[in-house]
Amino acid sequence: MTQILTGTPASAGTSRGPARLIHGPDEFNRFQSGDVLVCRTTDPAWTPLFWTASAVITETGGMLSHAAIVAREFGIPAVLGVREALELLPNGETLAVDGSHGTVARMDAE
Amino acid sequence: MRLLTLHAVRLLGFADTQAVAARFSQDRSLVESQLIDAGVNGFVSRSTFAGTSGWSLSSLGRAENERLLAEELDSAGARGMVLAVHDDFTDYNTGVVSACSAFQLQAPATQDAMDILIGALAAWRPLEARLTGLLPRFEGYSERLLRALKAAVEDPAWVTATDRDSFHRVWFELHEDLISTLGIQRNT
Repeated sequence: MTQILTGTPASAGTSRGPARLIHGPDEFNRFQSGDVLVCRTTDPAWTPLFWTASAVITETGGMLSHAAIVAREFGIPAVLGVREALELLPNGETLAVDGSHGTVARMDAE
Repeated sequence: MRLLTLHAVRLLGFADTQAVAARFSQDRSLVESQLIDAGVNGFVSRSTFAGTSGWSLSSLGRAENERLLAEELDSAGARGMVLAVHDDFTDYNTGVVSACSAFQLQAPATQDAMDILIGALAAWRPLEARLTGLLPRFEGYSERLLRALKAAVEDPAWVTATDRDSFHRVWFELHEDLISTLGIQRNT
């Protein structure tokens, strides 16, 4: 059965891509076009990752956060405030992100 | 001057040498030299995203930036004042982010959303004046916010766009400036 995590639907739309867990700027070079950005929070340094991300998942924040506004500008789905996302989501696993309903489905999980 | 160069990279997030120098009106060749030194020390790195090259701060550089900011704050005796300004900023931040979201999600946005942004700028001006009395590098946010608001009257993209000095981009940078100056963690 597909495992589903939930958070705040912050930027509408759906997308699929591999999870890329980014803990800080030193890991930015691991980020590939089409990856789903999974992180604790974002600041202005993270905006370039939104250029090529297929979706964004953060552990903090919500509908009214800077990350939500930036994700909407890029037209990519965002689910924010997903508790322990960095612990629960493995790097590289295919995720289906629904930014309209605030769900993250782990497509490879058994 | 190394503080201003590292801090410009922190505030801009990802920027070329010219933009880093322009952020605090520094000499380009001096800034380039400082960025190369900072790169050798592992504080910054140069990379390319989507065909655009720029400098960004490493975790080590972020820690060095915060060390220099703490030194600056203590030598200026400004910690209490910046904390008070940050508290006031936080009160307005909720309204600004809400108004920016309204511009994105409602078409057309209500006049209420614009009124909130105008009110936030009016509230920020005296706070900036207090800050620049002790930390002159905070100068300029009010002018940039005003320019964005005026441009937004003709083109609402100036409220939240990421490809220009929009109201939200400047406000986001200001938020980063305040929390990095105080060495506190972002929650939104």
